[in-house]
Amino acid sequence: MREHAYCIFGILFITGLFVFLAIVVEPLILEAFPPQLRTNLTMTQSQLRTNLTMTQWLESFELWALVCVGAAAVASFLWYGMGQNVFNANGGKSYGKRGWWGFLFILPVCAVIFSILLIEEAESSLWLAYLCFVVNGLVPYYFATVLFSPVSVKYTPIGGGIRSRLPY
Amino acid sequence: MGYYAIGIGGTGSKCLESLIHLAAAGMMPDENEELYVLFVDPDKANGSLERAVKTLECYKTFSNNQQLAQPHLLQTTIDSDGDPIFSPFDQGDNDNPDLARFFDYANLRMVNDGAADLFEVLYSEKERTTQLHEGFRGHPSIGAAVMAQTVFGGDGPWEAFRARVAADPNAKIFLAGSIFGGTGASGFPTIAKLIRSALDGAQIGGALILPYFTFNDTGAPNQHQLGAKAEHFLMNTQAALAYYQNQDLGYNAIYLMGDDSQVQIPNFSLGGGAQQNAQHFIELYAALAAIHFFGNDGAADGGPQYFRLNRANKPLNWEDLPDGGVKIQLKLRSLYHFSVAYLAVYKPMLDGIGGGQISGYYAPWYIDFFQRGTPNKISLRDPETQKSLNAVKNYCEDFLVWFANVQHSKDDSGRFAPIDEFDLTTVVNRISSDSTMQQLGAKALNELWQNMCSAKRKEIDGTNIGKFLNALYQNCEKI
Repeated sequence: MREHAYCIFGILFITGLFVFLAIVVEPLILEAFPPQLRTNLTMTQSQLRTNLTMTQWLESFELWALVCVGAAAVASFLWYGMGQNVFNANGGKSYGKRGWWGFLFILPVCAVIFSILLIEEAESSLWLAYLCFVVNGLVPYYFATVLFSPVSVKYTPIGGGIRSRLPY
Repeated sequence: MGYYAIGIGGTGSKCLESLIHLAAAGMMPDENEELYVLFVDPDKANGSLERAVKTLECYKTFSNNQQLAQPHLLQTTIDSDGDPIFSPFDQGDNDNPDLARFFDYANLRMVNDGAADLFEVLYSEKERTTQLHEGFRGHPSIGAAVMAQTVFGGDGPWEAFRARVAADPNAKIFLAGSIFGGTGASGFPTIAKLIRSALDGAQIGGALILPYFTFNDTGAPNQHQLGAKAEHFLMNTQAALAYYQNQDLGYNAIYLMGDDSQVQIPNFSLGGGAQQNAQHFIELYAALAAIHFFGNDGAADGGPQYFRLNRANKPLNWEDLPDGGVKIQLKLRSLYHFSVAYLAVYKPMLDGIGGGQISGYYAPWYIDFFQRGTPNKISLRDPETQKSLNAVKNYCEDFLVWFANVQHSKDDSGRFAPIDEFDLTTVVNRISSDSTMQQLGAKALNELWQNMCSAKRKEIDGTNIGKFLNALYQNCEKI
């Protein structure tokens, strides 16, 4: 029971950490290295947008950054549930498949792709925002699963060997 | 103080087989005391004896293996000096032993006519000339004469036994044998008297097994052959008990036990490898009697004690065992669950990992116990590791067959069909037919797997594989 508490708290902690990054730290970095925003950029008549401000763009960024973190959290909890209830069935005869762990990356990857496609457009210098999406989507899932997988699949994630040095 | 157990004849060896399994489960009064075992049987090829010796070998291979050292399983050191079997015909030229040759009857006739006549009066021609390599054929009068002549009569295990006991002022010696056959009935009183005269200070206890099985006539000795006959069992028993009542056998405690349900032995044999009678709960009682004797100080006045075991319930249940059967039930259940889990899940997984069919990370406990070991990780391909893991497997299989047969033998319906060969499904079904020995279902196995995956190697006593076994056993105890 204590292991469950450790792991669930750990996943929530990592999620919280990246939420903090997404809404506090990354906007500060992006303000320091701002993208070049459009001004009076006329698209079609219906999409007429004027003067996208930095504040508006950052709000858009935060929204999609949180989508990435959320997708990572969902994937992490899905992995946890499968590890706990599916992969240790029959006393280990249905053991943790690394393929499933890799497959679940699809959720944060999709979130990252959607975020890149749907964030408010800017004219240039978006690479830093894209990098933030990748970090927000993939890193929390990786660390949450490497550090806080259920015991029966604790070594399934690549790099999971580190768990043997942790006290849970 | 040491414990000494002597199994006389087929039944006696089966009692020792049960005692070895109880020692494995941790039932001995003091697990730090060594248990010395000796089998006495002229029929070294006797199937029951062979099986008991195999159990002894499995136990010793497991418990003596340094890689498997841990503080829970098979803690009692069981020893025997070289060959654990004593046969009266081991000494001299006894390739085709019979009583006449053994006592040099031909020569006796020439040098002492009177003695030869007495010999003829005491033993019929059939008794004098029947080959004894398959035992004393249900005739204790033959066995008693041979035993009296050979026990303590030369080198071999008896001399080593005498030296050990002489050096051990608190030695407790327990003998087990049947009263109704040949070897047990002849050895039980004779050997005790010989030990008493050679080692006066020793405490001697004995389990005297009254009839508890029978067999049909198919394959039984015909009228021209000398051999045990089931129809004579009760008569022999009555005569022997009447005799023992008036004799000082030298015992400090005697335990009498039998069972009137008289299970049918399916394959009767005069002796040899085919005489492999299945394990029976009476032998479990005899082993518990030995444990009771080893753990008690005896009568306050030093006089002999007699114990008689009754069965109150039909069918027999755990409450019929000493002290309500609580401790033994707990111990055997843990060993049963350990054996099943090891054979059904953990050993196959280790085989798969060792053979490269399964990746190690699938089984986190494997990484924890075999890959993170100190000072070096344990290679599953190492022949020594294989030997160690197989030693556990062999003992577990042996234990499960014994336990399944003991469990099944209490069935009063007369449908006792013993298991000879190990088959996991069959033994588990048999054992779990007792509601108190629940099968390890999927839920329990999952829980066990989880617990094994979260077991902390550093917090577990043992060396190398012993840590893994200790973790598995301790988690099985929690089921």
